[in-house]
Amino acid sequence: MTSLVAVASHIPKATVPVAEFLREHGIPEPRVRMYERYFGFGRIPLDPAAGPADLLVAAANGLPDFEALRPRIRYVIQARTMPVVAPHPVNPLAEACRRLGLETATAICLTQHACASGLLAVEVAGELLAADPDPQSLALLVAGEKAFTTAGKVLADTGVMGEGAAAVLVAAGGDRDRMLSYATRTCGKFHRGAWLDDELTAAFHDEYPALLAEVMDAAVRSAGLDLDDIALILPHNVNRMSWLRVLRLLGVRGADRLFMDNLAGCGHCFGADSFINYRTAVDAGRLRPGDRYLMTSVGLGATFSAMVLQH
Amino acid sequence: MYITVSRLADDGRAGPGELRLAAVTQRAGIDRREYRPQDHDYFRDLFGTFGLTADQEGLAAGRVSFTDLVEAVLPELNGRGDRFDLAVMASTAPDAEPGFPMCFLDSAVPDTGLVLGIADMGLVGVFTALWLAENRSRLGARRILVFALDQASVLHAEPVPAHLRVTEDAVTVLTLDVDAAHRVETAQPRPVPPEEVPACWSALLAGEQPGAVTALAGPGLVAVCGDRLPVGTVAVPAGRPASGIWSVLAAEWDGWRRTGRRVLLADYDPDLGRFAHCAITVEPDSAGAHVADSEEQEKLR
Repeated sequence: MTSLVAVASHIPKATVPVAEFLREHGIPEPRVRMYERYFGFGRIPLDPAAGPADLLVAAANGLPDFEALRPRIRYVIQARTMPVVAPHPVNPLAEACRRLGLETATAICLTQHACASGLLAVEVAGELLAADPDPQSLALLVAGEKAFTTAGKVLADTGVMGEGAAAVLVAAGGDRDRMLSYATRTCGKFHRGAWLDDELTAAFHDEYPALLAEVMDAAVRSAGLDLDDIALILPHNVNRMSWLRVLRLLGVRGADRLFMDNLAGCGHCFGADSFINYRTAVDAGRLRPGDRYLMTSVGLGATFSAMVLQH
Repeated sequence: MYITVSRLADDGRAGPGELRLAAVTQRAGIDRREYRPQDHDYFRDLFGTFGLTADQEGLAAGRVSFTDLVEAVLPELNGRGDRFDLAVMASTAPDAEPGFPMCFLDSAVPDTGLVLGIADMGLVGVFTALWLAENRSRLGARRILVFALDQASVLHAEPVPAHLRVTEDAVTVLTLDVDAAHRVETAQPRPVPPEEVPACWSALLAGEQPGAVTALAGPGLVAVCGDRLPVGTVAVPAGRPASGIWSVLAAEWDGWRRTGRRVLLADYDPDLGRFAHCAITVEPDSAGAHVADSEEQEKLR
C-alpha cells in the first residue's frame, strides 16, 4: 500500500507583503484589499537568488535521514506546474538529481496536471514502486517552482504564488501515512489555463467549487469513508472564500477541519501546498495516529484532484 | 473521473502486463501560427530569469505548439483517439507556448481517462512513456495513447546540442490496445556509461534472430556508437528527437503489417547517460488479424 515515509518543506525566509507584490503586477487597489482581507493572503515567500533546482534540492535536503535513505531511492519524480520552466535544453530536474547524488535514479518530470501534479506524483510513484522488484525501494517526490511572469505569479481571484517547496519520500509499503484513495478529473474545456477568455474564466469560477467537491467526495467514498471520518483537509492554498463554497457543497459545517494556517504566510506554492501543509500540521500536532485526512489540489488546465491518506 | 484505491505492494506485477500496438500515426507539415501576446510576455519573463532575452525574430516567425500538433493528428487517428484509459505525452524540447495539450485532448475526444505529460527526459522520454504505459497495462488499462511531440521553436540564441535540436514540427502517436495483435516489449531506461553503449546495443541485437529484425537506432545512439554502430542498423537522423524514431515505424507500418516484422528501437541520451530500448513484434496480416481489426473498427462505430 503506497505510503509517505517522510515529508519535508522548504520555505524561503525572505517574504514580501502580498499587497506590494500585487501592486507590482498591476492589480487594482480594491482587488488588492480583497486578496488581503477576504481571500486571506498576507506575505509571499520569494527567493530571487534561487534557481528552480535550488528549491527542490533545499526541500530534499530537509528530509530526515536523507543521507541514509538515499541508496534506496530508485525514482525521482518532479511534480511540475508551469508548462515551460527553462530555456531548452536547461534541465532543472537533472541538475537537482546530480546535486542530490541521485544520478542513477530514474528521474521523471510529471506535467499537465499543473498544481495537481503533486498528488499525481504520489499515485505514479506508488505504481512504479509496486512493480519494482525491491520492496525496499523508495521514490523521492519534489514540488515547488519559481514564480515568474504575471500570469504565473497571480492567478486571478484564486491565488498568489509563493516559492515554497516540498520533498516527499514514498514507499510501496509501510504503515505511515498510507494512501487510501485518489480521485482526479481533468476538465479540458479550461485547457488554456491562466489564459482563458472572460467567458471561460467566469465559467471556471462558477464550476470550480462543484468540480472540486466532486473529486473530494469521490476520493472519500472510494476509501470507504464518509466526510465525517476525515480529521483534517490539507488543501491547496487558494482564496479562502472559494473554500467556504466548497465546504458548503460538501455539507461540512464550519472550517475547523480545513487547514489554512499557511495561506497567509506562504501563498500558493504550486504543487507543494498539500505537503507543506502536512508538515506544518504534523509539527503542530494536528494529526494523530490513525487519523484519516484529505489532500486536495487543482491545476491549471484544469485538473481537480483529491487523495485520502491515513496517518 | 479517474479513481484508484490503495493497492497492495505487488499489484504492479499482478496483471498480464502485455502492451500491444494497434496503430502508429504521424503528422508533420503543419502551418505555423502567430505567437499570442501572452506568449511574448511569458518567454520574455522566463528567459529573463536565466539572463537571456527572447529572440524577436523567432517570435515573429510563429510556432506550432504541442496543442496544435495534437489537434492536427487527432483526425488521423480514425476514432482510435477516444475511449482511452491513459494518454501520455513526451517531448525533448519544451512546448512553444505555456499550454496544456493533454487537457486539450480531454476536451477534444469522448470518454477520456487519465491524461499526463512527462518532460526533461531527453531522448529517452518516449521510451519512458511506453514503460509507464506497460506498468499501467498491468493495472488494467486497455487503451493507451502515447504522443511523441517535437516543436522547432527555440526562441533564444544559446547552443542546443545536435541530438536535442528539433528541425521539424511533428507528432507521432502510438495507439496501444489490449485487443491489438502487435506485441510491444518495453524496459526501464537504465544508466549506461557511454563507452559501454555500443556493446549494450550489440548484445540486444545478438539476442534476435539474424535477418529477422529491423534495428532502428535513434540519433543519440548513432552518435555514441560512431563507427561501432553494428552493420544493418538503421540510423535515424537527428532533427526529430522525440518523434523521429517512431516516425520510421509509422512510415513502414503498413508494409511490415503485410509481411510481419520484428523491430528493435533504441536510443541513448548522453546528457542523462540513459539507454532505452523497445521491441515490437509486428504480426503479419492474416484473416484472423483482419477480423480482429474489423471487429474493433465496428466497435468504434
